Amino acid sequence: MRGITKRFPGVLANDHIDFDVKAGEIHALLGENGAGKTTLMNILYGLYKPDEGEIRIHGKKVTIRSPKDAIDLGIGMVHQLFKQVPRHTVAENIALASSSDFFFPGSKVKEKILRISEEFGLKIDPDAEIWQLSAAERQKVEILKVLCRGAEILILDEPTSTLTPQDKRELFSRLKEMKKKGYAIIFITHKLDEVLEISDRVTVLRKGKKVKTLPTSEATKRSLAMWMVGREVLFRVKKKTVKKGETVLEVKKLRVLGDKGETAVKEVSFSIREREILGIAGIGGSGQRELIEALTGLRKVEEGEVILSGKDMTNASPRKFVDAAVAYIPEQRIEVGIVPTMNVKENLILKDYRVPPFSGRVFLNHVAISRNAQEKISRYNVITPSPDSPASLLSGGNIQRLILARETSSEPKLLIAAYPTYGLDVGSIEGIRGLMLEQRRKKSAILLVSEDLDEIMMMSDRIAVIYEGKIMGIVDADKVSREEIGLMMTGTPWSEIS
Amino acid sequence: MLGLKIEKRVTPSLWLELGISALSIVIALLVGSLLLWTQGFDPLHIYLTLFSGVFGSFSALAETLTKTIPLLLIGEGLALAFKARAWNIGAPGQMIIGAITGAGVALFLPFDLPAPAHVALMFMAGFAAGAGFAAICAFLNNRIGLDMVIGTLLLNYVALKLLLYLLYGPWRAPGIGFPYTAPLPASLCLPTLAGTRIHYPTLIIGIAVVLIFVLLTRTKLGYEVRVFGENPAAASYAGISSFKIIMSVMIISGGLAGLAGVGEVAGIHHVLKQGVDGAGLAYVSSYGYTAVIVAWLGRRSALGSALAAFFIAGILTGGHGVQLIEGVPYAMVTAILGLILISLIGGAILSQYKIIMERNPR
Repeated sequence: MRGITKRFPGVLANDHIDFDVKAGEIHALLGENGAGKTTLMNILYGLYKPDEGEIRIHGKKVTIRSPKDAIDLGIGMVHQLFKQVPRHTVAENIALASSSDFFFPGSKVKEKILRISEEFGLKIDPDAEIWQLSAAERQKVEILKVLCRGAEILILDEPTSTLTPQDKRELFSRLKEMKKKGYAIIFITHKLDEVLEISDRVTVLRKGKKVKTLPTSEATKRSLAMWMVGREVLFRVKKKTVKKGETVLEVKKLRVLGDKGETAVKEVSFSIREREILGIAGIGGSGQRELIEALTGLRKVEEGEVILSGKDMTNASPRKFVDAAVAYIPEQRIEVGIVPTMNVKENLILKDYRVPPFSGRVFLNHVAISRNAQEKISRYNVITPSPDSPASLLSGGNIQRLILARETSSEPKLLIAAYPTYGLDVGSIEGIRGLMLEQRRKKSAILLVSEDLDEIMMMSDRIAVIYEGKIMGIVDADKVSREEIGLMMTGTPWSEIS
Repeated sequence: MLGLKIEKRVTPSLWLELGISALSIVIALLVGSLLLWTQGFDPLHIYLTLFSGVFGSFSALAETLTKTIPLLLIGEGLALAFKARAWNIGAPGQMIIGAITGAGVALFLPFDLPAPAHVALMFMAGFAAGAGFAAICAFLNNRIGLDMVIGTLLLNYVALKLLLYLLYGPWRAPGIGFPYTAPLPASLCLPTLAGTRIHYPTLIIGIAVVLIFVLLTRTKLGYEVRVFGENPAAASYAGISSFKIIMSVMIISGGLAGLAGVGEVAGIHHVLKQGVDGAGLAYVSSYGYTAVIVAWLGRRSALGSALAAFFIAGILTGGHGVQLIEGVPYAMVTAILGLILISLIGGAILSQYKIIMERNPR
């Protein structure tokens, strides 16, 4: 790809980018969110047309008008979110993409799947239905789908974001095998460790421009981060030891149902004290969401107790939790955390609009609301065109900062943070972790739910691991290894490990 | 080669929206003229008659204002309800219940009251009855998850049947050939502006409602309604009770429909009868349904709905004129009204996008 340029209204997403990948190599494409990685790859996959620039494959100039063109040229893309039919079998899903048989397309494809999965060690039952599979297995299906279509160039868009450490290792060894067989692999990521671990070469993008392409062996974590963010980055947040205070939250034998009426949280008990961060680790969908919702009044508690500073809050309304100074950074930032169509100013008072100075008995106080917005925007470094812009215009990192500004500014007693840095870039992550530690210093008890093990281990004082709705163990963060947590995440209780 | 691309507009400007609305109306009139032409009418002539039937004379304008009153009251309430995603399609029923209650208070109050207090009581009772009728749906929605559209819609039939039962049964005035109640005492009939049917007390209530609703955007309740309407998940996250919001807007919109019903009884008909909600008059459906269009056309805003109420009332009035003078079937007028609405609502969607022309997209 040469001189690729793509403009979106008001943004130069790709600015004369040169990029190449050779057969038999893994080329990492590294950059912050919004750096233009996905745009560049979407151009290669025919989803966007470049405004300028040319693409050559095997030295021949090509025009790629649609994903179909790309597939015909041997380019395959594994998206971040899988596009699969949950009620169909693996074979049927793959056939949907690659078979031209009208009747029973699954049957002929099955043979091909077995052959290819054998070849690459991507073991999967072609007759399993998609909904029965884990995220890692679904990803295998997606890779198989691409291979069955005869791809030679594979684009993987942030493939590790939903995997456990064990699954990740498995994926990496498969990728290395494919590399040996002569496939060209493009690995999109913003995680530095992954770049260093798997890639042969790395290209760093920043704000739509290419910063550098170099062999990975010549790169260090520090240099990559600097090219990516444009400044020095602190990796280890300095966590000072602070004296823990009184117990803020106490959860006793909690049982909560999931959306389908199944028991999603079973017999969960833990407590958090002032100035303490309790990390909850677990594979996505292990009951974290249901647990958090029960602790914020958004979901009914079937059995057990939720006690906040000695007061029984079991099945209290969300309003009661808000009034009791429980701050909550939700997992679904845009769907739950903000009102995208309302402006930044109004979003900043979502939790406080009921009380002075933002409102009196009946009316809102617009002067106070504006002043508050100005102060929060500058203090929390929220980048927005103006306080009156709709929140939907903000980038992911800035939306998260807006939510943090709102949730932490009123001295919460308990801060519940669900995946607070998920999908954000290094710079934002650093800022958000800093804010949480500042909150810890200021006496808040913090419940941190995350799938990012590094984050859990770095931030938490204690770690609780949840598996299928049950707590496998609660351990001090400095007395446990990544592997031990990984084991607990896949269902081994702590008592059997230690 | 030129390529076209569609992109979402972030914030359409006011002028753009107004321009698109005007263009939508013109397009609808053009399509409507085709319709008229196939039926052998001269479209330009008909449109001029329609226009003069709305604004051309004092009496036409007065009639438009008269029809604006119920549309304004109900439309404002529905605009608020729709903002909170409470799909209240039950205004016809709420209006009828208001009319029944207003007439009941006027005719069967067991004690004497001075006339002004009696009229005030009619309005208050009408509001309470319409509000209570709408609240049934809000309550059932909260308790058993009753769909608001279905619930409010079906209650319309309940209200209508109740009206028919009263008119053919216990409330029927003896000695009249029609299923009417006895006429309201003259002291309880609303005064009108000289020479017109404009029952100005109701109009004043309507204008007051518009003003209150404009102020509502600056209140806590207005903020809650917007948060809830724009993102219910964020509302419950913020501790806003969905029941409180839905109940509030249903009470308000139902109550306003009830007021409109009292206004029609005491200001126009002076008797309780079928069609008191405007239904059945020359193929036009109940004001309660037409007001749904008013609220959408007014983009669910207080001022917008007020303008829309006047606009729609004008078309209803002008339609009568065209029918009487030119012999155009009223169904044709309704069809043109429909065309205008479709193109306005379509235009509203289009105004959120822009088309970009690209040169040489490869």
